[in-house]
Amino acid sequence: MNQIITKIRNRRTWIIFLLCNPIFIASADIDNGASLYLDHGCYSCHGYNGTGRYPLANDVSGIMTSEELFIMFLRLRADLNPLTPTNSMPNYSEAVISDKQAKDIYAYMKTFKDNPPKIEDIPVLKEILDNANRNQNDEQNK
Amino acid sequence: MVQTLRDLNIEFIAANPASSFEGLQESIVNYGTPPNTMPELITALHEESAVDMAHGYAKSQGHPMAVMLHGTVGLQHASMAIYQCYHDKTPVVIIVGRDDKFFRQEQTANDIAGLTRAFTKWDAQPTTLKGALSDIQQAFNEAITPPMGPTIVVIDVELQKEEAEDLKIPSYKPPIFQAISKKEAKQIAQNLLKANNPRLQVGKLRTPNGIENAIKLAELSGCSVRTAATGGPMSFPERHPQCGKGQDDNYDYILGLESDGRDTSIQGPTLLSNANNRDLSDIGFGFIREPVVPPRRDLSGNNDITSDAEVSIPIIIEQFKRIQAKDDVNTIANRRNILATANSQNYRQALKVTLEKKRKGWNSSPVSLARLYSELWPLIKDLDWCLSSPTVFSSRHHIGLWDHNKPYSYLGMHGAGGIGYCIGASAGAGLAARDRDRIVINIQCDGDLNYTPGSLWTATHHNLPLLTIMHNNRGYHQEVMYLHYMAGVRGRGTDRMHIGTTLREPFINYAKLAEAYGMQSEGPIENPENLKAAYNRGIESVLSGKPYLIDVITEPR
Repeated sequence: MNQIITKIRNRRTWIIFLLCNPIFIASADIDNGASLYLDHGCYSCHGYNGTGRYPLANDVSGIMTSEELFIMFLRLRADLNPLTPTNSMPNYSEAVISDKQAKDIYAYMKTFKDNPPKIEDIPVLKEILDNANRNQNDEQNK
Repeated sequence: MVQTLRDLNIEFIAANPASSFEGLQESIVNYGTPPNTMPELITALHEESAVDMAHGYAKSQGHPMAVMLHGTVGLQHASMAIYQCYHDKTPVVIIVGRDDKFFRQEQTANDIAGLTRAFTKWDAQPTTLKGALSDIQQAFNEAITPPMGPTIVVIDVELQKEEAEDLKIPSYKPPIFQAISKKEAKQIAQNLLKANNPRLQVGKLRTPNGIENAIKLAELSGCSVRTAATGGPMSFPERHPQCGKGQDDNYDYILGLESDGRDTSIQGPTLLSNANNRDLSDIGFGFIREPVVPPRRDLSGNNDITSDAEVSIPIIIEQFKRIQAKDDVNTIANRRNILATANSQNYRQALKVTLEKKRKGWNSSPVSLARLYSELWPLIKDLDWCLSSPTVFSSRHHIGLWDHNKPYSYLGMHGAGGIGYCIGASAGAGLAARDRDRIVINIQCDGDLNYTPGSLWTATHHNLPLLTIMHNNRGYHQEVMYLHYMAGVRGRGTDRMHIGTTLREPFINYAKLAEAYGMQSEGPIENPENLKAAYNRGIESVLSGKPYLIDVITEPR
């Protein structure tokens, strides 16, 4: 019950926030977001479909909670010059990705959906699992 | 010289032909009646590839093959690959031809081996034919003795052409491996015996024989075992019933065999022990310096025994058998059964978690790397297979999914991270596999292949059982990410970071590249639904003795 109340409160908070904040009223350009996503190499860590090493599809990443959080995340990334090369998420100031562009990217990333079949419905994975179970049964029967 | 190599069980010698070893090369091809086939001459299209082949072969077999290199320039071409063998502690016997009286002075030197001395284990420049034979034997011995590594014999072209007449090959004396004392072995055996939950931590041993003995020790003592088989070759079989953490990871005695052991570590000498005599210019390469990141274990040295673990294991077994009582046998058998049950359950639980992760992006295009590995496993699991390529850049999806039970199941990393290694090392693994009903799987990064694609031809020419699957992410992906971060630091945006890091405009067609070298191939494949059929065609081809390449367009990682 507490979880449901929290959910409703959160949703209400978001609706009020969106209505009061003019920068989130203008609709985002998903196509432009797609171009920016590729041009800025977001795919290199997050995958071409948001299913990469650091996935975004299905909103699994915390940064996809809201546009505001996403933009904040872009701006507040570490920008210290590291002693050794790093593949951490880069910093993006407004000078290189504007709020409008960030919103477009966000809107595009929100379209990422990953609905892979269950293991039982993927023959090759099911076969691997069945083999493991079969081997164990064989061992137990020895 | 050929007979000397043959007597050392050197199966192959790889070379790119050159004027400074025509004497030896002619003998390798024509010596004996019928003409020589062992060592078989393997045609490499680049000296770096020749050494990479020897690298991959030695990691598969735990035994060196040989390489011939030309004077100063050939050795320099090969130097990066030699450097990687050195850091990977991999035995390779290298013969460098030297020609002082003919041709080009730039291609000779007083001390050719000096070019690579800081990262070879041993070298010699004999002045007589007899000396050359004993130096080849010594080079072999030095290469296979810990710390193992590449060795060089520089042989003048005149010596190679000298008639052997009635010269006898010097009698061969195998090397002596430094073993632990009986007293130390007895103490270890007692510790294993009195422990209620003993553990072996097995790293990289030297040969398959070492693994057999490690299995004997594990079974005799009823230890649980940690293996390094998913990180490289020559370690304990991953699915052995005792391999795993067992039901209780509160171990009361841990013995390391070429690995860190909390209570006792038996490890061969490090490269540092070799460097003092070799790094005369104080170049200070990599591990020759003090390590940048200290090892995680106790560095006091109190528990360390600097000896070869492989040759020490039988001594521990002998001592264990001596002190073991009849009651101990039953206790240990019971412990083995408990371990087997716990490890089996742990494995199946872990497998479910692993498979859940593999589902991510299952139907996506470009192909997910999880699917690239997953689709392949059922097709090869009943074959004798070897995964030859480093998998760090393809996210190591074989771990947890494939069973690494053979000494050569996975050959591990490059040695020193030098790119261009994969296809050559895979061809070397193919040499080891060719007459042993084994197939080699090479998950080949696109950037890496472009350094030394000539090994595609070598694999085809020598009918190597090699299935190459391109991890074609169309770039040097690690660097793509580094550059992104750097641009972020400087606040200049990441939209131009593809410049100098990606392979586009035009894309490279690797199926056609392979075809140009005579290798059967297909692709590029972007739809994951087409993978399985392509794999089946590839495996069928490889099993019939024809290597095959499948170009797959993949997610970056």
